[in-house]
Amino acid sequence: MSRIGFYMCECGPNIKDGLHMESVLESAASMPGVVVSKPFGLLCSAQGKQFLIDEITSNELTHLVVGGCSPRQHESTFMDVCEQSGLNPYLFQMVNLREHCSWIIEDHEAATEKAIRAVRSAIARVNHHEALRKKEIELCTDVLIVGGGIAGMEAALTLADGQRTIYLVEKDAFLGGSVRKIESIFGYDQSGTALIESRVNSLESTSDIRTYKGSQVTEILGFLGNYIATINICDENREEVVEVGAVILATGFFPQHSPDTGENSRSRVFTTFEIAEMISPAGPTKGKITWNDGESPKSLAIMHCIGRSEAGYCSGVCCRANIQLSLSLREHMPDLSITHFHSGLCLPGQSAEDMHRNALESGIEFIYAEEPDIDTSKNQISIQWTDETGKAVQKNFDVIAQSPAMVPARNSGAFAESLNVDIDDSGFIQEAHEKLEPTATSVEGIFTAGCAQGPMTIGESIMQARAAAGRILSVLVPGRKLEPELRVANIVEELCIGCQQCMTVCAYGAISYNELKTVCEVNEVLCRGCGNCTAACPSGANRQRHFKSIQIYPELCEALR
Amino acid sequence: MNEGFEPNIIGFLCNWCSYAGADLAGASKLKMPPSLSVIRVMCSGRVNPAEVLAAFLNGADGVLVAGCHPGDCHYRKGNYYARRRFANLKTVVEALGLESDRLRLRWVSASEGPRFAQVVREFTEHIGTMGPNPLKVQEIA
Amino acid sequence: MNKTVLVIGAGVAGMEVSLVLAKAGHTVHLVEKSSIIGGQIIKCEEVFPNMECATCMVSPMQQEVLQHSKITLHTLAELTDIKRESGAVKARVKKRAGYVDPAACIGCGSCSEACPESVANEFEEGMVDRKAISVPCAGALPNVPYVDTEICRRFKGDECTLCVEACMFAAIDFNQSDEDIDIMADAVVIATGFSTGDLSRYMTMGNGPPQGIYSAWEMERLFASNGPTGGAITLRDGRTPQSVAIIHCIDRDERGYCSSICCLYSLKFVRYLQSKLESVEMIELHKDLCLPGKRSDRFAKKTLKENHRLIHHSEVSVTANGNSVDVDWTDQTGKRESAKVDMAILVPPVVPGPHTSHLASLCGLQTDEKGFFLSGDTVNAGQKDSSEGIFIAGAALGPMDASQSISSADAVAGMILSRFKEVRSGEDE
Repeated sequence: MSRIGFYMCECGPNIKDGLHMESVLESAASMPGVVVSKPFGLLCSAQGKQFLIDEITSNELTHLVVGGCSPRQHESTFMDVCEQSGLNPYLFQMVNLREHCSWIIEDHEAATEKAIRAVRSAIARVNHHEALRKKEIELCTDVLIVGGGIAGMEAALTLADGQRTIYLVEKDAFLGGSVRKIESIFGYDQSGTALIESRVNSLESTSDIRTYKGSQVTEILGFLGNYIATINICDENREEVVEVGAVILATGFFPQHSPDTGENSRSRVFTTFEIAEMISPAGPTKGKITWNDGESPKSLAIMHCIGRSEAGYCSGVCCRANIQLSLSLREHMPDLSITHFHSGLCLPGQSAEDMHRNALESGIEFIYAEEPDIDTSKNQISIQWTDETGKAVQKNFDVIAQSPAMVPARNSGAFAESLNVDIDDSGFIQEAHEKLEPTATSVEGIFTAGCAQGPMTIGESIMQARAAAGRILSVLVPGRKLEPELRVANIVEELCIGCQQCMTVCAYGAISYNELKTVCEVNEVLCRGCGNCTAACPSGANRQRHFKSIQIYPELCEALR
Repeated sequence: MNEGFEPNIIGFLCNWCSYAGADLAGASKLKMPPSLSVIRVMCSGRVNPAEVLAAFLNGADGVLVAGCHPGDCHYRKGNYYARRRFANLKTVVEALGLESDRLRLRWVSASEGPRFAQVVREFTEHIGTMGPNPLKVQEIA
Repeated sequence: MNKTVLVIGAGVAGMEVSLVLAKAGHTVHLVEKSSIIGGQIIKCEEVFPNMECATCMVSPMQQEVLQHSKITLHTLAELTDIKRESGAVKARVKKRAGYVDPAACIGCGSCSEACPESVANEFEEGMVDRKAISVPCAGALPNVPYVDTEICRRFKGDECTLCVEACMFAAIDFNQSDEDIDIMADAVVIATGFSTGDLSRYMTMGNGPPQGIYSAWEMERLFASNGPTGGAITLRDGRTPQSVAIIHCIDRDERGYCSSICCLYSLKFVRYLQSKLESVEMIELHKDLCLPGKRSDRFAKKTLKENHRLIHHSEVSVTANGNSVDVDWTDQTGKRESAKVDMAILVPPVVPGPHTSHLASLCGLQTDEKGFFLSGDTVNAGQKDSSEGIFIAGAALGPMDASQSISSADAVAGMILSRFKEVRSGEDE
């Protein structure tokens, strides 16, 4: 037997003076199940809350309805009150009598009528509320990091707080990814190689971090707090299965090399990545510059934005990286004339323009040219362009370095998709929210950091790596259990026809199809409680707790009486 | 416009945007007709076509579904599904013998207090000119 | 084990770092100098590049901050002293009296209605006034007004009690006084954000702002649905502009750096204008279109239409001329041109927040050549910070957009959470 208590807040004059409280209280009292219907001055005050606690206890209420301000403001306040009185907080409904009634309707009678309708709706609804009980799910605090470049390494070091094991998996024989083979980086006084070395040393002295080189992650199953991953250690021809609570995808970008377009091109046409690797002592030529068939070139052209329109984005890093590269080359080869061809320099950040100025002062040239023509067929490379005045200009260069778009690491997109992690048209990992959750992905518990998410600088990769780590450290706290949202979708097996419509509409991958039972199942940890699947279900098997049809029908029917 | 006809409109408002916009309209003391009975849902994508039809069959003169602007959905794409369902619903509503524009879908963000008030006023006026739910008049409900 | 963190600044970065640390189980004191949380982003109607409603996006975060049991918010508060004591940080925070009791106030606004004194509203860039007791804008959180003692009559000797009489909840208390509170913190995060360059030399003419010339912030407030015109793009005399010039890189050469977010938010302005003005003509003067990021080119492509003129300038001047604005420029080839437009929007540089140098000297932190905070360790793992225990997050470090501020805040939270265990080793568990 329901024992519903209805309490109407006067909110000072805000509700009291806007409508006829007595009529509302009377109407509520007349509804079946309502055992008490009272006004109170200010229910959200300390006295108001105590009053409610006393009322719930003394009247042995089974349900509570409060008429007052917006539930967005004080629903949680009164849910706490319920809990304190031993009443399940979900056996409560709040009615908006202020923002939706007294404040917006001039005529007292009309406002009172609307309030009566709203209160009766709420009482009709609350009768069908269910007591939702807190759930606790075990979680594993360990973390798996896919990719041992700068982002992966930084994430591992930040996560190593002594309370978890971190598995760092890298497919190459060395850690360090793209950064390892870069000699000089804009904004830093250390070489990329040194940057990586110091981190490798720290990693090796941290026993909580287990590094797997020459290895790949072949499968990840599960959900936040409960993942099982398989690591294939290629050299040793064996597999290891690990249990983790979260995953970070830090697969980085792919530094494109120049396609071989003929005899001349092989020693004259490079990408900026290739040249950067060439001058690094850790690169493939151990720092020996082998171009122009062994002869010392007199001139180098650096071509910015190659492939920008095909890629559809500006990689943002290259202008600065190329200027740094040219400054670095200046040091190695002081007699080399260097010319940058660009269609607008992208120089964000406090020190980029200073670097540009240094380059200009050291005699490096910058030419604005949209879509210059490059002819590599002859002995020297000929570049033709139209300058700003409209005049056609031509110049020869011994060697050119093309600066291509930064694209995701090969196969990283396919791997992400195998985990149901959304990727964009360019193959980068899609953030959960492009402004508020740049390191989270469409799958809760799987994060991303660094260039796997989009072109970014080394500093930004480091920042994202720490950010992903921060998010994970905040959730995977030892001893803590996961408390998922309670107003989630739930599928009644007997009614489910296995059409999988709910699965199709779920934005969080929270629904899966059970082949054996031929029904769909909701993962209550991943479900965010939007109710989209509930609306999609043709058989009524899918219900959203606290927003079930059986609760909404009486709410709207009562409003229409 | 029927004399003395006070439209009774059911409004499904999503918690994050349109309900918040309605609250802001209230906090700004913008005056509106008393026609809208608000049903709060977490997302406009939760609105089941069957519930909309139930509203009409129970005598609602109009039904308003309000959600976040496309691209702003708190649950990523719930409002896109709301839009699709709404388009299909229009046809079904007509099949019931009701004018399809008794059903209205509007996007209202949390900061659009005045817009919410305008939506309510415009829809109420529109329903006012259409008259009461014909199913109600024929005593089918 | 529960630690305490002091966060200075309740903008995007400050709120984010507070939430991540609070969810991890630590106590957070969030100190904000204004009366509301949300920082600069809440002045915007929409954010680039997805043109999402800024307030809708940020309000769940604001609500969480206000309701989280582990976060204590101190508004109208500033850091006045900081000392390192036995491995922790002892901070003194001065809380100015707002003369309103937040526990009693329900945000009805009756006090503001009754107040007889007003002044230009800084949140609205001075385009409308606010009362001596007020909240900065509709929808502000917390929705609790405060008394501005600079303009309130009571602080000029008048025994005015109009607001007290208007309040039905006895929430106004002129017996409140400023207080100093001491907080022992295990870590401090400075998230004081950025400011924008002073445009006053372009913006004052005679007795008031020049007809037709607008700063970027004024443009944001014009378009805002909770702003002075309710979102209508109308000039100061009520006319609707038919031609608009957006002028980038104001004072860029003097500052010596590119502010990185302005090209993107200028594109956002173009979208604003397109959505409200049918056939507006636009010219855009820039020194280099800075559009990094995987979505920016697409955003630019979708935004820029045929009638939109993009001009790469080396010099530009803007002069109010009666009802219109004269824009004169020199392009990259040296050619000079000019145009007469109804409205010119000036895009200022992103500069360090006004209290940066004061805070830096207070906390023993360094600033870079451009005046932003220098973040201690960004590169070398394991190397100790010179400013131990004090971290910097968000645009206080330099121009960045909201997503970078969030990453920056999460990164600082990561470093703090990682260190907290370090501090524990050696203690008895």
